Parts: sequence; structure tokens; C-alpha cells
Amino acid sequence: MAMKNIQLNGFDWNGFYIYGIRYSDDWCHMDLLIRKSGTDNVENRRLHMEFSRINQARLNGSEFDCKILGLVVNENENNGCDVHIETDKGLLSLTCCDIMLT
Amino acid sequence: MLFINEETDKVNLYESHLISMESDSSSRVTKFLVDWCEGDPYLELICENCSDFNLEIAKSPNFENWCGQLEITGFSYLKTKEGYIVQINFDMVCIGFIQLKCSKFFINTPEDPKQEGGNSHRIIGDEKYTTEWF
Repeated sequence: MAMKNIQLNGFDWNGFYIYGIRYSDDWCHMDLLIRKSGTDNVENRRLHMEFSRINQARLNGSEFDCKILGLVVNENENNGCDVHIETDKGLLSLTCCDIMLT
Repeated sequence: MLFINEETDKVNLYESHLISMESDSSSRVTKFLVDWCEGDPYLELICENCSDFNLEIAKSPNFENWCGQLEITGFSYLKTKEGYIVQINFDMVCIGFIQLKCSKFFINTPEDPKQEGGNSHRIIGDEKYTTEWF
């Protein structure tokens, strides 16, 4: 079952990596492509975000592929979510309407 | 149409949008998909043997209520002893850049480019370095 919004705060991110970012054609959706440690990219797991935008992203490392150290979802005053993802390469901060792990 | 390294000067990326970025850590390849302003519909920018990845993006206060389109306002590369530094710049809804080192980069377009692009020389260390983007 897909986990959504603040439910994601309870998810164990140990061993998960972000290896890609993909927007929809109409810019209304954005996916962070996720893989589990020790696997290749074929699992097709995603953090799917509706009406998402990057507030700030600062990643610095040998490559883009970054290990998730922590993910916090806070509901904001616009009935959306502020998402903060800490990785071994840096920080990703996003705002979206909904965020879902699929 | 395939354009390798300096040949990518023939491809204009200005006002196109970055749709996706994927890294394959096993093969050290990073692939960018661009919604190409010249038409039909996407082009690929592929960098091989990548290292030293650096991404810095922030939303612009001038576009507070916009979605976060990554509109490309510059494409730069710098030849080094080891290969190339490649950089994609954003100066509109999102401000910042994506930079990485690679041994080789190439652009695969679905059709002939209509207008030339060129190196926007925004990598620090480039003797033609500039901060201008328009």
C-alpha cells in the first residue's frame, strides 16, 4: 500500500538511495526515483509528488546517486506538505500538494 | 543526430526545460532528458565516467507561485586534462546550476537543430568566464 504525506515520517529509509529526478510534461508532478541498497534501478520505486517544486537543493558528491539519511514531511498552512530530505550528499527541500511512496 | 563534446555547440538549449536527471552509479553515466524548445519533443544529454557532482538550486523570489520548472538559461563546458566539466544553468523560476565532471558528453537530438547554441562560459576557471546569461 502506498504511504502518503506525514505517514512517510515513520518509514525506515535505511538503505534507500535517490538516483534520479523526473518531472511530468505539464510540470504538475515530480518523481524522485528511489532504489534500495544492493539493487539496481529496476524496482521502479518512486516518491511521487503532486504540484511539487524545489525550494532548495544542495547536493555535492562524487555522483548524484545519494543515500537517504532522513526524510521529514510537515503539513503546511496551504494544505500541502513541506518535505525535507537529508542525504549523504546534502539537502533537498521541496513543497508539494501531496507526496506518496509507491 | 549525435553531437559529441565541442560539437554540442550546434545545439541550442536556451529556453528548453530539464525534465529528468538519472544517474547510473554502476556505469557512472548521468543522463539528462530535456524538453527541447526547438521541437519534437526531447533530447538527451549524456555524460560518461561522471564524478564531482554538484547541484545547487533554489526557487526564485520573483516566481513565488510558479511550479518549479527547470528552464535552462545556459550550457557550459570546460575542457580539462582529465576530460570535461559540464554545467547546466538555471536563472528563471529556479536559480542555480548542475555541474559534474566527465570524460565525454554528448547530445542526442531527434532532428537537426534549427539554431546554434554554444558554450555559455559560466564555469569558474574558463578564461572566457562570464556571469551574463542573456
